[in-house]
Amino acid sequence: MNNKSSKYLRFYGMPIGLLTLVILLQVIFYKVPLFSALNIKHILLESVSIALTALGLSYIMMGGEGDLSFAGMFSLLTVIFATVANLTSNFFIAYIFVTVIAVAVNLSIAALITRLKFSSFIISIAVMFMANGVEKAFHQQTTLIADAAIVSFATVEFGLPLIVWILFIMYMGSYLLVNKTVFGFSLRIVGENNNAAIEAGINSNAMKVSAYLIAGLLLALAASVESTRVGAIYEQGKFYMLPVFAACYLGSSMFTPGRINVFGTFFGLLFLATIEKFMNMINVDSYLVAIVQGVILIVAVGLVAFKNREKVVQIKL
Amino acid sequence: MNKSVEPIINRLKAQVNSPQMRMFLGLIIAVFLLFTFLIPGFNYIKIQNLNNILTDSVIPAIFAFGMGIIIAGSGFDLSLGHIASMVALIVAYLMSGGIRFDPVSAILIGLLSAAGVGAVSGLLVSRLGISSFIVTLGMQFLIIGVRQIITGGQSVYISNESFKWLATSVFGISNLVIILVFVSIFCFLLMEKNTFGRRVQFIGSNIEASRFMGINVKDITLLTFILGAVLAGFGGVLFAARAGAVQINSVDSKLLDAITIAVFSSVIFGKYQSSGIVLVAILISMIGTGMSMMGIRTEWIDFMKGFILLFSIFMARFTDLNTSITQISILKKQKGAKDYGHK
Repeated sequence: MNNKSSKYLRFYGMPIGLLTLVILLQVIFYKVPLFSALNIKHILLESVSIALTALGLSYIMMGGEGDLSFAGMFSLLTVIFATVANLTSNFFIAYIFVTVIAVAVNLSIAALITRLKFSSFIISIAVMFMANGVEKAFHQQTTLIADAAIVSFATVEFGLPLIVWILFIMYMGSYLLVNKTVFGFSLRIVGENNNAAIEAGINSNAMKVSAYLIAGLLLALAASVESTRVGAIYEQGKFYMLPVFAACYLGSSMFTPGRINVFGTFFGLLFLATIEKFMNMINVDSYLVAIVQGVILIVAVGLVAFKNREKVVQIKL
Repeated sequence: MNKSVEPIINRLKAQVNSPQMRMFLGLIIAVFLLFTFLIPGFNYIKIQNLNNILTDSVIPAIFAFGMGIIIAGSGFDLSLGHIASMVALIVAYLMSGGIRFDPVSAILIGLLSAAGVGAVSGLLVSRLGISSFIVTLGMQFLIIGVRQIITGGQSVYISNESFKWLATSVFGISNLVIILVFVSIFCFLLMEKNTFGRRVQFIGSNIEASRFMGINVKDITLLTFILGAVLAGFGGVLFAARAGAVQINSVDSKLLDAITIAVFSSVIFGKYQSSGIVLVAILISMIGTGMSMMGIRTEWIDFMKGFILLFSIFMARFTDLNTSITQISILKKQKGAKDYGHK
C-alpha cells in the first residue's frame, strides 16, 4: 500500500466504517425506517443538548485539559432554567441567568487550573459533586416548565426545528474558529505541547481560559435547550457523561487520528445517536444502550491508544 | 523489653510530630469543638454519638483504602461505587431466594466477581494503554446496564442473621470497627511494609524510572486495580450487612466518599498512608454527623464533601507540608545576621 492511500485509510477509515455499519444495520433490519425524514429529524432533535455539551468539552480537550464538571452542572442548570422560566415566564431572562452561572463556574475552574496549576481532573470532579449536591437540594423530581409560550420555542421549525439549526450553526462556527483562525491554531498548539506553545509566544493561560469560557456558553445553551424540550430531569447530567465522552473520543479516532476535532465529535455523536435510536426502535432494553455505548467508548479509545499501548497512562492529582 | 519497645515509641513520636499529622489533629479538634458548641445540649459529645461517628466512618474508609491504593499507582477508578453495589447485590441474591448459599461462600463469590471486574479494567489500562478514567467510566455504565437487566431494578432483602452479624456490636463497639482495624492493618502492611506497596508508590511517583529499574509496571498496575475493586466490594458487603436490604444503586454514591477521603489523604501526606485515610474518614464522618444533627439536609452534606475535596487540594498547595512546622519562620525565632557569621 502506498503512502497516500494509507493516509486516507487512517484519516477516513473510521467514519466510512461506521457509516457502513449503520447502512448494514438498515439493510438487515429493513423493516425499521431508520433513514426516514421524520426519524432523522428526531435523531437530530434528541441529540442537540448532548451535541452542544460535547462541543464544549471538545474545546477544553483541544486545549489539553479535561472536564467532568458538566455532568453535575448540566442538570443543575436545567433546574435553574426551569425555575427561573416558571417565575418570570421569559425565555431570555432564564437563558441569561443560566449563562452567567455557567460561565462564572467555568471561569473559576479555569482560574484554578491556570493560575494555581491544579489538576483539571480533580477540580472538575469536586465541582461535579458540589453541583450535584446543590441540584438535589433544589430539585423536585421532574421540574417542568409551565408556560406554553416558552415550551413552544423548542418546537419552532424552519424545515428543521430551530434548535437543530442552532446546532448546525454552532458546529460550523466552531469548525471555522478552530481550523481557520489564529485562535484555533494557538488553542490546538497549547493542547499539543504546552511548553512549546509558551516558547512560541502563545499566551497558553488565555487560550485555556477562553476554551473554558466557550464551553460554559455552550453548556448553558445545551441546558436551556434540554430544559425547554423535555424539562429538568433529576441527575440527567450523570447519564450524559458517557455519550459526551464517547462522542469526543470516537471523534478523535477519525479525520485527524489521535486529536480531538470538531467534525469528528459531530460524526461520533451522530453515530451514537443513530445506534441508540435504532436500539430503541427494535425495542431493546434501554439499559442495553448504556452497555453498547460503554463498549463503543472503550473500543474507540483503545483504537486511538493502540499505537502506544506499551505506555500506561497515568492520572496525576 | 524496653529496648524493643523504644524504636516503636520513637516511630510513633515521629509520626505525631510530622507537620501533616499535627495539622490534621488540629483540624479534627477544631471541628470537634465547633460542633460541641454549635449543637444544643452537648448532644454531640455523648458517648453514643461518638460511637456512631466511628461506626459511620468504617464503610467510607474501606472504600477509600481501595481508591487510595489505585491513586498511589497514579490510576483512578470511577467505577468503585458501582462495583460495590454489584457485590452487595450478588451477595444478597445468593443468600436469598431458592439458592441460599451460606454467607462465607456468598461473600467469596461476590469478592471474586469484584476482582474479575477490577481485572478487566486493569488489563485495559495496563495492556492497551487506555486512560484509567475512560476505562472505568465505561465500566460504570456496563455495570449499570448489566445489573438492571439481571435484577429488573428490584431491591433484595437479607434475612440471613449470621450475615448481619458483621454489623452487630459487642460490648457497645460495632464489629465494623474491629473489621476496620484489621483491614487497615492489612493495608498498612501491604502498602507501607512490603515491596509491593513500595513498587506501587514508586510507579505513582515516576513511571519511567520504575520501568528502568526493572519493576513490572503492567502487572503491578493490574494488581492495584484488582485490589481496589476487592476492597470496594468488601465495603459493599459491609454496607449490605448494615442496611439489611440492598437497593440496586444503594452504594453508587459512596464513590464521592471514596474520592474525597483518598484524595484528601494522599495530597496532604504526599503518599499512601493508612492512618491518614482512617483519620480523614473519621473527620468526614464527624462533619457529616454534626451537620445532620444541626438539621441540615443530606444534599448539602454532599455539597460539603465536594467542597472538602476542593479545600484539601488548596491546603496541600498553600501549606508547604514537606517542611517541618518548626521551619516555618513565624513559629521560630528569626535567624539573625550573626547566625550566618556576619559581623
